Amino acid sequence: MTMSFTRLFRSGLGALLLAAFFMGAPASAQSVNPTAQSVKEDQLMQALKPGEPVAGRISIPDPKAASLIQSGRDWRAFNQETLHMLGKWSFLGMLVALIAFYLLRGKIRIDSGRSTQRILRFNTVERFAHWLSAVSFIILAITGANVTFGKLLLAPVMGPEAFAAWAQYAKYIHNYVGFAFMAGVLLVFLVWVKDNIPNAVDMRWFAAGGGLLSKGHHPRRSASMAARRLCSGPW
Amino acid sequence: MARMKFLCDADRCIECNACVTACKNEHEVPWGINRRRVVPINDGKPGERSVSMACMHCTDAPCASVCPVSCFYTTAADAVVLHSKDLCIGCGYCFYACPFGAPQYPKTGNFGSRGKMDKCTYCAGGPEADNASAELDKYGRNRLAEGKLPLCAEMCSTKALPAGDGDIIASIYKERVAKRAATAPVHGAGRSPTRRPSPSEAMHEQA
Repeated sequence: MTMSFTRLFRSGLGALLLAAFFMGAPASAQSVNPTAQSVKEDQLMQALKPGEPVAGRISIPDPKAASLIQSGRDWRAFNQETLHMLGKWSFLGMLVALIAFYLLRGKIRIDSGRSTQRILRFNTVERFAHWLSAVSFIILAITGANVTFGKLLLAPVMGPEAFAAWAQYAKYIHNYVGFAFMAGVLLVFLVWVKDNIPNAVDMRWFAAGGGLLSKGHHPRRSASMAARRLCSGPW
Repeated sequence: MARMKFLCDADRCIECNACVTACKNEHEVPWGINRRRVVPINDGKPGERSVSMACMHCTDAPCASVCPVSCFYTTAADAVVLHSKDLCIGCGYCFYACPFGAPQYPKTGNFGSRGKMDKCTYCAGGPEADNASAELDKYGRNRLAEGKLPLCAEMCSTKALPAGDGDIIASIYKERVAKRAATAPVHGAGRSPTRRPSPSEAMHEQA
């Protein structure tokens, strides 16, 4: 019976190789026991769908290399289609929303002008946490968006060499500033988490829409600013 | 225009790893990087087969599609997928997108971060002038410019790894498959897909 096992396996693997060869494109197979008697060639062909990788044993000291075929197709589709679409609509959508709000409501001024008296609202640690998060977030956003949209927007303007040099620095900046952002977010959480539980005053503030859409009226707000958190994130 | 391809004949590959060694030696590939590797499937079981795998030089290459700095290009004469290490930023996207695990990265950056990507060049170097010293340093030898095929394929002792114009090596492979189907096997080799069981085997199967 071994004879028929090898025969079936050979035709299956041959088909796999030919498929990878002729399509020049990703192919992956679910785990099919090729030595099982019931395995037929069409079953193996059906198994060549995106999903589980094809793997074997490897004798070089790199266990990753044992994977013969992985599904890169899904990642490519996400990276080149889904991510582009989501990113594009998020950026443009936010821009449109901000412009629309400005046109409708205009600049929100201080009703009676600036006071001559200044009081300390946030201490040094709080301000540091805020600006650490804010600055590193903006740097991460620019260097991160560059990876996805740089080749569409910047590369045609800068030329490939200059763009690659900028992208190289952007990558390093993105890698390291990520730690600053993590530290900032952690600090923000520790400093302000106690103020984030909404109370009765906050509920009334919500009911009044925070005075965002009404002029000359300031709904009372708790010192804890739970409401503000909801609108603008924890910082 | 020819479209250069590799094809691994799993029925001939004996997992000697000579292709891996030849490639490393020819191009002086850095430690830890293997542009070609041999993977046995069903190791130690009946029906074990080995496949030698490297960059497949895809027609619609996923690495080129996802590269954020567009460092990949397909050569006009041979349709080989090459890349520029001057443009590469070592982001690792091509590794995620490649179905065959071809792109690899030396750990040269700070904290072992990825350096410039390295992969099989089909022995065709890079964007520099053919066999310039800069090309040799970055990508290894450019055998294609000298009219030679990739060394892994040229020195494969069982001719399991033909390289060349895709149409030609496909016809060679088809010929082999047809010949295998028609030829009676050596006793015990069990290689022919159409081989009928011998009378004694037939008796065993009935029993």
